[in-house]
Amino acid sequence: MRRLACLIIALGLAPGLSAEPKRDADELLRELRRNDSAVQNLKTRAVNILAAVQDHKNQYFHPPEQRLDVYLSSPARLFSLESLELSSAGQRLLRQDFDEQQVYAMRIGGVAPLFHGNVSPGRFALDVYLQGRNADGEPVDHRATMTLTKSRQPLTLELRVKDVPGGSGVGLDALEREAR
Amino acid sequence: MRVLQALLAVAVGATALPASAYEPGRGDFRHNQALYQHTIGNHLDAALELLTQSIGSTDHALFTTHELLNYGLYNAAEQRFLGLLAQNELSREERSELYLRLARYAFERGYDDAAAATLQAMEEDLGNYSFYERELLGAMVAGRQRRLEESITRLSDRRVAGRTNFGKYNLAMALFAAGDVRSARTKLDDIGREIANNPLEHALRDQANLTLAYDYLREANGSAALPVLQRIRVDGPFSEEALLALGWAELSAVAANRVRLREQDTQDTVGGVLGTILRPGKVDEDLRRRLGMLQSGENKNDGTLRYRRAISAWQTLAQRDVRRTAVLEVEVALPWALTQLGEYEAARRYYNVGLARLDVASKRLDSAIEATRNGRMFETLIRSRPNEYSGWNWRATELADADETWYLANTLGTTLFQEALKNYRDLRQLSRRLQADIRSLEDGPQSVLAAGDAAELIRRERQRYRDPLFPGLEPQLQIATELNRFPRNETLEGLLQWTYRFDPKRDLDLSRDLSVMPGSVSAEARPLLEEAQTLLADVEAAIPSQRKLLEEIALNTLLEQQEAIRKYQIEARFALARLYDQAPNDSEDRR
Repeated sequence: MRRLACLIIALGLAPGLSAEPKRDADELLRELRRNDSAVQNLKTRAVNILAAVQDHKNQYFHPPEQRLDVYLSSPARLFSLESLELSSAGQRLLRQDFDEQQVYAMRIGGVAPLFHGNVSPGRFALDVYLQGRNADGEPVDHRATMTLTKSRQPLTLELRVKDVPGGSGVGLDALEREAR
Repeated sequence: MRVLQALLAVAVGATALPASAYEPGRGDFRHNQALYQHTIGNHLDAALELLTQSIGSTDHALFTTHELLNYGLYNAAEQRFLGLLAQNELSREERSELYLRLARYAFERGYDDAAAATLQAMEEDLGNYSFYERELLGAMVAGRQRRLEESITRLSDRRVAGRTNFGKYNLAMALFAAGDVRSARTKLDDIGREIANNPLEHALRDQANLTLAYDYLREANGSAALPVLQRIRVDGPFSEEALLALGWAELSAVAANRVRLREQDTQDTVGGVLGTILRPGKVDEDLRRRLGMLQSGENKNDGTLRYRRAISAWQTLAQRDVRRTAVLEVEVALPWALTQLGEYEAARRYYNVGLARLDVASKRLDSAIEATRNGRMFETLIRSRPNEYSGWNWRATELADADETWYLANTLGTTLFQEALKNYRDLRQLSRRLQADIRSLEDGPQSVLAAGDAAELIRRERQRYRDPLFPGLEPQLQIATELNRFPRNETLEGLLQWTYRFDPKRDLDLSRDLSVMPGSVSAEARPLLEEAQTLLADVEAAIPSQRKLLEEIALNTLLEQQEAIRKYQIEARFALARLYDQAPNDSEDRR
């Protein structure tokens, strides 16, 4: 992969200030404008439809008595998250790796979606396994297990990674959030 | 890449969102979900998240407005901004940022009148607040609308020209366009002499020097061009054109030896490395004729020295990648210079090598044109993190190592191409997203992966995304009773991971007893499904016209280069033939 150093320049400078007006460029610009209007219309319709589809799926595919949403936040400053595994009843549900940008997004307060699905009502166990690096760049991991009860209401869970003095230097909180 | 993006933001004067919106813990849980999507560049999901929340604080309304604009919904963002202005709850800083972002969007997408009107409204509302940013953008809008006097007036203000070199560079371009060459040259020379403190300033300094030197060379004034070219970095983005120019400047210099070197010019500059002074330009007959006139009065030793210096620069350039336009020209220029020195054997050798390299370049260019026509080039450009970085905020800042991206490096950096590419990319993303949603609506709740259906799902999912290893052979898959007994993707664990990797938004179902499991589309889903299908058809229909625009922009450049190569090939072949014709005469002369 190559980086476009000249891009930086080209984008910052005036494209219209050339010695001679170019008719071709004007025509291309008009075409860009026409296309952009069309794309904006499509996107506006899309935003409405996608929101409606999301509502529909929540209503019919994930009935409140089964719906489980798990989110992840990681405002930790010393621990840097690299991956997370989520398991239930000994079976791994997912493993997600996080890149620098995702870690940054969580560090400034962002909440990442992890899991959106259904569970049977009643008690179930959720195991979380975190891997990452501490402030010195050394590999660190942390395992947490929780037993949860799924009621008739949707369950929304926020897993929050935090710095903990001593030990591995990392810990995990689970917070129940209001479902949408 | 992050560094580049940061620089880019500075260069274009655009920021993603007010920093105040990003304080950790400031927003509520749902606000922070949108914040995450925004920060990773997924502006569609961020906008969706914000739009489905009930209208709350001004912060929320402001964030939503920015996010709509980030996703490229300019009209919707403008409407919301007008609503916010009417409520009179935004600070000066917040208003200024939105005015500027809306005006920049309008300018970049070609709505010049709207951009000018937004800037006018900003001036009426905020007076001289954010004066520099407003005037810089206003000058660009005026310049593109050919209102050069207004552009020059805006850029000449000391609060604009005196703040950064971008304003000064744009002023120089406006002065050139208005015919005031002398003032334009002075401005470029000022930028070209300044000490650069970061890569952005360095690149701008190089560009100013190159532009100025080319302007001198248009008049065959190599003496003036040489010290200017000398300031250009040998490893910078403009080094190839500078090296090419150096040779021509040497040949057209009247008093090159009198030009003094400065210490900072010799550290990492083209002139310093070559131990000589620098020009840019294209081989053209007119220039060569003028060179001949200029050199007619000098003594033979001076002339030879000039050619030696030019050859030295061009030999350095000839070792660079042949996909660079400047390198193509040197394949002809270098043996031509050797011919002028009477070194026919070396010239013949270089012409032969040059012809072979031009032939390679021609084939690569043909393949790049083909890649542009069949759309492969655009896929190459947008394949990096295809599901993220949607909308107006995304920019292609990395190029895959493919022929087409090399030949188009300069074109790819232009605003026109970038904006067209963003729309193309957004439509492709939208199409994928709609297809996935339509599939899930058609499948009903069965689309939620149920643990009990894993065998069938594994088979279905694998076939959906992958070509079969052995076509025609039905895969016989088994469910693992214990983890890790089977290859990773054959187990439920593997499936879940694999599915998540390909489609992170896929819903998963851990329940043992799904209560609802209809086999066909439900009555509730049908109108939604039809609407989504209609939209998908419209999106698919819009993609070809977006691609056509990109194709047109790219082909303009590629076909120009193809024509240049063809000319070089003809020139080299004729020159070679002439050299072979006179070879017997050389032998006779030597005898």
